[in-house]
Amino acid sequence: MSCETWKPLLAGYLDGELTPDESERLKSHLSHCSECRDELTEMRELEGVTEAMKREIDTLPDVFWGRYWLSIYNRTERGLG
Amino acid sequence: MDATEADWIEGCKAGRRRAFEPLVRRYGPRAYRFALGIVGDAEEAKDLSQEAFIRAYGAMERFHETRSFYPWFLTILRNVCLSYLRRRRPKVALEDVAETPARPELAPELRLAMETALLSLKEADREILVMKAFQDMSYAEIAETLGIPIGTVMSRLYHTRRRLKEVFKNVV
Repeated sequence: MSCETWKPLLAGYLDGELTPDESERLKSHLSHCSECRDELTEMRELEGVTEAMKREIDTLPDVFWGRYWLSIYNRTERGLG
Repeated sequence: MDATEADWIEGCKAGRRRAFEPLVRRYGPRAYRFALGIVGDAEEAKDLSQEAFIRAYGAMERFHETRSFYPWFLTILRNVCLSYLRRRRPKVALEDVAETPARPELAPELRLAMETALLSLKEADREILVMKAFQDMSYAEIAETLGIPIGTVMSRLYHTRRRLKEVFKNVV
């Protein structure tokens, strides 16, 4: 299999969506293919950035969600939306 | 759907608006993350996710308890976000995003680079990436939501990440 065939599996590997057999075969390929290893590393770096963005929202204070809800409550009361 | 959630929905259907609050509190962060990934603007994402909740409340009569709430709500949220994008092209300047986080975890230039990269993607590609990266949906859930095979989900996520990476590297 060429790298171009393996590469879509990098996404499945990163996302934990490969079968154990697919995972093992990909790991074996990665052990001797620096191009695919580098691509996986770059994908993990991107994932680190999106994970941090997610955490920023998940750590918004309760007062933010209180205001968020109140705005929805008031707008349903007035029949808007 | 758990029994508590079913009670909240029943309360909403009976016109008790307060019964909607726990649903908003439970799914608000997830909705906000989805909208932010799609429209790339914190203020707009907040407004659009709120609008989706208001529409969901108004449409609650049509919700069947045999379904899970969030996938049903996500259909509404997607429509709200996508119709916003069609009305108004996304902004590239996203500095206001940096004001929202309670605990900033990212350097502003990294956040701006990621937001610019996300906005550079085609709408459909951005949506599938957001489902994975900002919603933690499984491939099976994404496949069901978009009506595509699981293998296509993996392949599209790979190619989308590759495009994202190119733009991200250029901006950073």
